[in-house]
This record gives sequence, structure tokens and C-alpha cells, in this order.
Amino acid sequence: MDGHRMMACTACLFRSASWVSICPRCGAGVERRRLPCTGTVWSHTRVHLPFGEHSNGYRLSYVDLDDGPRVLCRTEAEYPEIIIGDRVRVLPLTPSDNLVDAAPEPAAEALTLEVIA
Amino acid sequence: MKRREPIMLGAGSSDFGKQSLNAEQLVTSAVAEALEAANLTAWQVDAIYLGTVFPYAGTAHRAMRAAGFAATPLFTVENACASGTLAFHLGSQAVRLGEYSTVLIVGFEKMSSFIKGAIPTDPGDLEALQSMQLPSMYALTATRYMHQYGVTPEQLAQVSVKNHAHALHNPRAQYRGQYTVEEVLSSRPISDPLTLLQCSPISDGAAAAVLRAREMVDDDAGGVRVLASHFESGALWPDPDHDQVWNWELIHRTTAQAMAAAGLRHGDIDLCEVHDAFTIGELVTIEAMGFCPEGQGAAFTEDGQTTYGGSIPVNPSGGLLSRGHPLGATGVAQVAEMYWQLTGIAGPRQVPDASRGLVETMGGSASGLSGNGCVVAAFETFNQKVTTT
Ligand SMILES: [Zn+2]
Repeated sequence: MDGHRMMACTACLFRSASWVSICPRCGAGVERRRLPCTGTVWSHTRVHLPFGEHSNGYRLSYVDLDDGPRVLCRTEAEYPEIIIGDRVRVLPLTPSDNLVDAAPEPAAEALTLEVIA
Repeated sequence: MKRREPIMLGAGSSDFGKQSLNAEQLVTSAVAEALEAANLTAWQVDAIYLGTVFPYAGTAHRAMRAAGFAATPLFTVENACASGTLAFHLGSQAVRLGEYSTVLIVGFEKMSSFIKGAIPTDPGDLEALQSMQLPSMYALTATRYMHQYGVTPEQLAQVSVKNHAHALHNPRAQYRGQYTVEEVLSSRPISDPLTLLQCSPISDGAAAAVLRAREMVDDDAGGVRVLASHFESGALWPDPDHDQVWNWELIHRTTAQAMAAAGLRHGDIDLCEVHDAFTIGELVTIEAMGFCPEGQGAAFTEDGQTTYGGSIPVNPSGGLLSRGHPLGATGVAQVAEMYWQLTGIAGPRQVPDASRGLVETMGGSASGLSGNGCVVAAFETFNQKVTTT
């Protein structure tokens, strides 16, 4: 099944990439749900501050997943320009079979994106 | 319940900047100045409300001991950038509700001991997995804001030019220098579109203020009335029904509550000290506070409306961009600036005829909320202070 496991409210539009026990928007129950991995770039920035092993020039983008939460994605310096409104596919930065199911958080994994041609 | 109005009788601060002074020395300099201005001693203080973010447990107590306090109830609070302002709010409420009559508000941060480079996100935030540091949170806001409203990098840089120009007259500010738009834009890139001169610097500093119940204050004492202070915590962000840039919702909600409590309208306000940790922050803040329509903050700034002679001078101190941003100290330093301005002793940076002002501080991190917490406080001159020098 294609898609990221995220938290979804059973009663309202609330979606979250980080774990919640109950919907903080309406109080209804939540469930883990596979949400579409396509979305739209809300904003982006090219970062010039080194961070850990990451060198300068990587880009961070907030992506509004279709029927999903806003998630942050990282693309490396050499990846082509991204603009607000780009349609993108969000992918795990490091592909893993079991990380999502094993972790208490629904999607505690670093994400990247690719622009959908 | 009988409510008692708090009067700010004194304020003080250390110099701001990376410096060799330790927490004890920074706090002592601010507290001594505030008590002297208030003509009070440590023995007359009923309680201390102190904001700080990074220190070890107990640093605040050691610093207050060095400043001459022991066995005085000391409340230490954390609320990110708004820690000092939250301490102010709680101390103000304690006077208003009658728990204490005389309180000391303190904020400090020996930030250079804890932070090298940019402030990181909490490792527990999903954003931290992507290597996000706090400047990028504001940079993402800036990119979105500029796209949404057609704002240029030059307009964004105007905020930095304006606040640094204000700081030319603030001898305690970390950065005092005249910068042009071109110099701001060509300073080191941090996280596009933000450059170094659009980011508040890592700083060490302390600030203090003394509040006393109106009943205990002489009618002719120099001081500032605390008309109202209000604290709100962040709502879910983004909001599926109303997509605003980060922080807007929380600042808007807090300001509306504070102004209603104070019975003030925008036209009544003579100046503001606001949270300009990054240039984009000041634009979002003045719009969220309602001083100009959404998307108009950049043009409003470019038009000179937020400096001397404009409709609402913002950050006459130079703001966080110039004064420096020792997190816990910042909110109390903003309050101290309001004391100096509204008692007429701000010297060459005095806003002429200022009698009412607002302080706003926003604390936030990448927590899926419109911010962690925001404080807005409203002030009015009680009596001008006669300088003896
Ligand atoms: Zn819900």
C-alpha cells in the first residue's frame, strides 16, 4: 500500500504526522491511517547553516499532503529548484520496511520529496 | 475579589551581547538598577518571578542570592522567547489579584554558554529529523509570506535597517551600526530569504522590573501603570479552516484579549516593543496585532510608519535584532524599555509624548502549534520620572 502512516481523526479533518492519543481539534478518537504521499509545496527555504553531517545548501520544504498534515521534507543541495505550489511526492529519506510500524510515532522518519513532472 | 493595579516603579538591565560576565553578575546589575529606580530594597520585595530558558536547575537561585535575595519566594518560568514576559505577566497578576504587594520581575540568559550557532529544534520534533534549526522555521514563513503578498527581499530588509537605526541610540544594544538595505541583503545567508542581519544574535543579558500595588505607591511617584497583561497558548497549526503563517493566530488572539482588558484601541497606542527575532517576525506581528492590514506590513514599514514620526513606532530600543536576544531576558528588556519610554527617560531614543504602549513577545518551536505561548501587556504613564542627572 502506497502512503505514509499518519494519525487521522475519525470525526474531523485533523491529520498529524506526529503521534497523538486523541484529536486535539475536536476530542474524537484517532486512528493510524495510510495517507496519500502526494501533496503541494506550501513553502521552502535553502539552508546555509551546517547541521550535523548535513552540509550547506540543503533545502527544507513544507508540503501539505493531500488529505494529510503539513510535513517537512529535505532535499539535498543539488536537487533542482522547488517553488510554492509544486505538486510533489513525499518519500522516506532512508527507505525502511519496518520503521513506521515499529515506532510509537506514526511517521518518525525523515522525509524527502520529488517534484511530479 | 478586589483587584489592585500594578505600578511599575523601576526597571534595569545589563548590557547585552556575548560577554564574560556570568549569570550572577548580569542579574545583579539589572536588579540593582531596577531597585534603585524604584527606591526600594531587596527586603521590601515579596516575591520574584523569573524567566529563563537554558540554565541548569538552580542557576536562577544562585543568581538571585548574588543579587541579595534569600528566602524570598522565587518562581522560575520557561516559555521560549516569551519566558521573561510570562514571568512579568505572572508577577503582574500576583499583584493584581492581591497575592503579593511588591514583586520583582527578572529575566536572564547566559546564552553563549549553551548555544553555538543557531538554536536547534527539539530532537523530539519531527522537524528535527530533517535537520531544521529555528531560523528555518521563520525562513519558511518568510518565503510563504513574500509569495502570498508579493513582498520583495528589499522590503523585508527594511525592518532590519529600521531597527538597527533605532539601536544607534541604545548604548546597551549588542549591534549598533548603520546598515543599508544592500548591506542587510548581502550579509551572510542563513536560511533563504533570511540573511545574518535579519536574525537576532545569540546574546548574554539580564533585565529586571519592580511592580508594586497602586495602594502602596505615592501619587507623584514616577512609574508606569500596567493596564493589562494577557497570556495565551498556541492553537493547532496549520488550521485547516484558516491557513495563516506560523504565529499569526496566536499573536492576533493574545493582542485582542489584552487590548480589550486594557480598554484600548489601536489609535490610543504610542509605541510597541515586539518580538522581532527575525525581520519577518516583526511584519507578521504588526499585522497580527492589527496595526496594519494583512500583507501590508512591509509597505507600512517602508513608508516609515513604524519609526519615529510614523503612526506606530515599533521597537525604539532596536528590538531583538539589535539589542540581542538572550531568550529569558528579552521579554523583561522589552518591558524595561517601556518603563524608560513611558516615564520620559529614554534619552535620544525617546518617542515624543509617549504615554501608552504595548509589549508583545511570542515564544515558539516546531510543535505543530501556532506558537508555544504569547504575552501582550498594555502600559500607560503613571507619572513621568524626573531625572536627577
Ligand atoms: Zn477531530
